[in-house]
Amino acid sequence: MKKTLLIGLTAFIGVAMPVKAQLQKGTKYVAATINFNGSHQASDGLSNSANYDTKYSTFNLNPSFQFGKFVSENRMIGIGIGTSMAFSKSKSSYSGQDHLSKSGNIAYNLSPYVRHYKLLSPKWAIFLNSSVNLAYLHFKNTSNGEAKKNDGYSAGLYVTPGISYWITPRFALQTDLNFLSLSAGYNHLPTTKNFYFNSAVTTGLTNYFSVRASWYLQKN
Amino acid sequence: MKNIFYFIAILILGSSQTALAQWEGQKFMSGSASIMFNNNNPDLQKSSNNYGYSFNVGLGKFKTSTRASGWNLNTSLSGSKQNFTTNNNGIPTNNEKNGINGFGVGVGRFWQFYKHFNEKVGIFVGPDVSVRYNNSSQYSNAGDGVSLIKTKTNVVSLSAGLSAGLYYKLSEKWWITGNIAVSNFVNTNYSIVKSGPDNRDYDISQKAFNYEFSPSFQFPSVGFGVRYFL
Repeated sequence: MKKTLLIGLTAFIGVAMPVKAQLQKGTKYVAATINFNGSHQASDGLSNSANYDTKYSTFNLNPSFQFGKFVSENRMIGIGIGTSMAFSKSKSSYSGQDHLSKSGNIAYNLSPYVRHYKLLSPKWAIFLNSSVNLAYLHFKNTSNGEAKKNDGYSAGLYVTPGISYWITPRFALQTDLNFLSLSAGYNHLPTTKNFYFNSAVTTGLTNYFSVRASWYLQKN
Repeated sequence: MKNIFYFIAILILGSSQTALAQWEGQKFMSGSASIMFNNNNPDLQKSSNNYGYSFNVGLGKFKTSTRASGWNLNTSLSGSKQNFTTNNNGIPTNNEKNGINGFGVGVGRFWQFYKHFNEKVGIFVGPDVSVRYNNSSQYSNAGDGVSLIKTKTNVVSLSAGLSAGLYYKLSEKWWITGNIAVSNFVNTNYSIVKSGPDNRDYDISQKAFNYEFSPSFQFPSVGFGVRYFL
């Protein structure tokens, strides 16, 4: 702990460089974020004079990456890829009878985007991200070995503003803001087709932001 | 994780190193204490009551003018006298349950990095980790109206996060502090729940483990407090 803080300190004091964002043409950009959560439960007991035993677990994993390149000053084009995965498994036995069910839902997202930056100070910038989001959805449910699969796709258009803070010239933390959002899209699943259009403008920010780590790489 | 500390150190130190006041070696405390007792004595039913306490103490020390660390300790206890009516072969019976029904204890460690804007005002950011244990033992009426269900819960939780705040110095001894943002990016807990009819051994036992990692923060996260320098 102490050591890392010292590294942080010396990194700062030793390299007291003016942090200046690099948004020139040719700069490459990589960003990533991940979140996951899971739960495991086991319960056993007696119900109507019969023993039962259940195990239930869930796991959700959402990684996403963005790659981009500045095509002119303050303007970047790029592509985002990501997946949203939700798995659950339930195993139960009730008076000698076993039941096993599993489900796995995966969405693969591909979103090409154009992003415009506006520097507010050497360290802070706001940006507007316009993207097309294409998703392929895959659902699989298994109950006692019998599998049921469903596939679907969805497409949407999104316009989202965001904010970026540079910690070093190459490294920044970003978060998307949600006071302005525009989205239109189409969902196609075997049993439903759904078209949607949403737009929202508000001066009230919600107070929950997820953070993305990003690197701005320039050949010198 | 290491990277995060590194970022924070840099974030906080910002672009200036000027320390306007000498805080080094100063110790401070903040906290809350509450005790409660409530008694209810209706004419036609038996009396019931509940009581408890909760203490929360934070102790910290400035290692340098811009860096402080410390401990948070908290403990709570609750108890009650409750009456439950059950029907045994059509005859209403009163079941009095008396005693301690909840207990919790927690310990946390925090680190804070300061940027003093002037003599009066500054901001701080830093990571914190905490571990907490809670147990409770509760009674409830079963759906059949005949029996009572007792449920016993034990939970151990571990969490790590970041928080940011600002301070205003009222006097040499007193500061007002305010939260700006919090992030609880790691949360885990393990719980054991046992429940069953009161007059038998536990029928149902459940164990659960939950975990979460989420790099996100809440802003604004408003909360005010007072800090006293020893």
